Amino acid sequence: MPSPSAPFPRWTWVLFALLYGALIPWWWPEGDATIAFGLPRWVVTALCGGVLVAVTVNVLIHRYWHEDAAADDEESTA
Amino acid sequence: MTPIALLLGVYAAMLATIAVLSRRAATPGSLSDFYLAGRSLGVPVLVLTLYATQYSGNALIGYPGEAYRMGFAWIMSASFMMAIVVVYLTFAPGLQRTARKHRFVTPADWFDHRFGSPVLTHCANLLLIVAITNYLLAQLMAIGHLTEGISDGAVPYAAGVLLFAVVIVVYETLGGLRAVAWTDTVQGILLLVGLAGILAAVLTSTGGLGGLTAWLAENHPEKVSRPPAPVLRTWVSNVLTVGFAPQAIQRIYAAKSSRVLKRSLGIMAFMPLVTMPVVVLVGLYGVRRYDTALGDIAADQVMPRLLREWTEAEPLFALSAALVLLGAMAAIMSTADSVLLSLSSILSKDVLGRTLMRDADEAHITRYGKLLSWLAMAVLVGVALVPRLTLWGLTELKNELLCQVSPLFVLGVAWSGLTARAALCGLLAGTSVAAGAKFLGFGKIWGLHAGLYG
Repeated sequence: MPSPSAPFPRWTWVLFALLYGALIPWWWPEGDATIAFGLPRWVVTALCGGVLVAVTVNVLIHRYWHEDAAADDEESTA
Repeated sequence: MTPIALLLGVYAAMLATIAVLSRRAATPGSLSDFYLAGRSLGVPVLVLTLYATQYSGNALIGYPGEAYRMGFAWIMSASFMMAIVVVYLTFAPGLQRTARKHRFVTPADWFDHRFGSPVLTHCANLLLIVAITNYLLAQLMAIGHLTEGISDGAVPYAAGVLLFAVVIVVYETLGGLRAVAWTDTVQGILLLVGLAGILAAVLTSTGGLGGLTAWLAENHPEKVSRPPAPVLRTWVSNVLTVGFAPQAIQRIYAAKSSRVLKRSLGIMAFMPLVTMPVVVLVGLYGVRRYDTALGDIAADQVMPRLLREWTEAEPLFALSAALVLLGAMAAIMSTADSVLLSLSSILSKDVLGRTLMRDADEAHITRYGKLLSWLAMAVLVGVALVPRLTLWGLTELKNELLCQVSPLFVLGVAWSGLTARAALCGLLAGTSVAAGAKFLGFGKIWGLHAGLYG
């Protein structure tokens, strides 16, 4: 059960590690310079990986980060 | 009057107006009002102030230089800028909740609350001061390069540094974070518009993305092919050092609510994808334009030189180049003002407020904070006049220092078992390893930054 101070489950960090492992092109053939969409293919892969990271961040924020309504109300009253 | 002069005039008038308006909106003598804008930042302002602050002069001036040196491999900058948001997720929700409850103003308030160790707080503050000062120095150098480059030397580097240092310190002193955040909002918009202008200019000048890549593949294949293993290790190292360098902590405190913070971070996750590919293209276009004629330090001049050439070459580019120029200046100034404000808050509240001015009220501490801003800026202008490192070199140093403080936020929030003694030992050991390796000339070991081993 995630704590209120760290609302995201532990597998979140494993998922991000995997995503970064995929977007950094260590697994691509060294010296490869084939081109797709006007860019080297490994760059396209890195950018697509970046999009996946950004989408994942948003899904996790939406799903697990619960707004602290009580503290927000208290603050606006103060 | 040229479009650049006209836009600069409008920009200066806008800065002056915001400074005056924010001063009127301020609650005099309140530390949280001056340094956190009264904890009132909504989504649009928070997103744009985070954006304008994180995408600094280094990103607009230093990163094209790095892409000029490394080629497409510098696309790694998109993934390491994104890592900042990923790491925020580890501590921002908990830190914001605690900060609102206990009315934190500076990072040290968190250290005190969580660890209760004055020694640890002082050590962490010292590291923060060195890192922040270093980053402010990078911004001053960036503005000097920019003014010198676009004026073809007519406005010397030193004059650019001095002029903009005065402008930044004046409006920061007048309006605090409110002035900084409001100007950041305008500057963030300018930055986005400027990037669109840059993209159009590069693509028009090179015959499209495919044309530029094909030219590079033929003439500089090493800048197109998949990077070799040492560069990939540096990629991993940059993701970790940049991601784990706690930045803009006081923006987390200044968010109006948890809803505002989470929505803002969600938007911020996409900003590297909008920004860094364009910046990399500028550096690559620099390779085509200048081949390898520029040395390592002069590579930081790629963007200013291109801006000047675009302005002069095509009348149609003049407005676009002027917007790009304003965007670049905006990026530098928005980062510099934020960094200066953080430095001022730490020096006044955490250093003076805990030593010489222990019994002083908030109004006095705020006043001395403004005075310290002027003093710090004067010293840094002196240092910036003789640049010794590239902009990226300075930023690496800043990130490696901030990395040592990172566990106090990341582990401090997520792991209740972290004790003050363990945190202090970690901080001292990490800093010693990082500083020792740097001192002995090991900037990177096996492709990984020395700060990461620390």
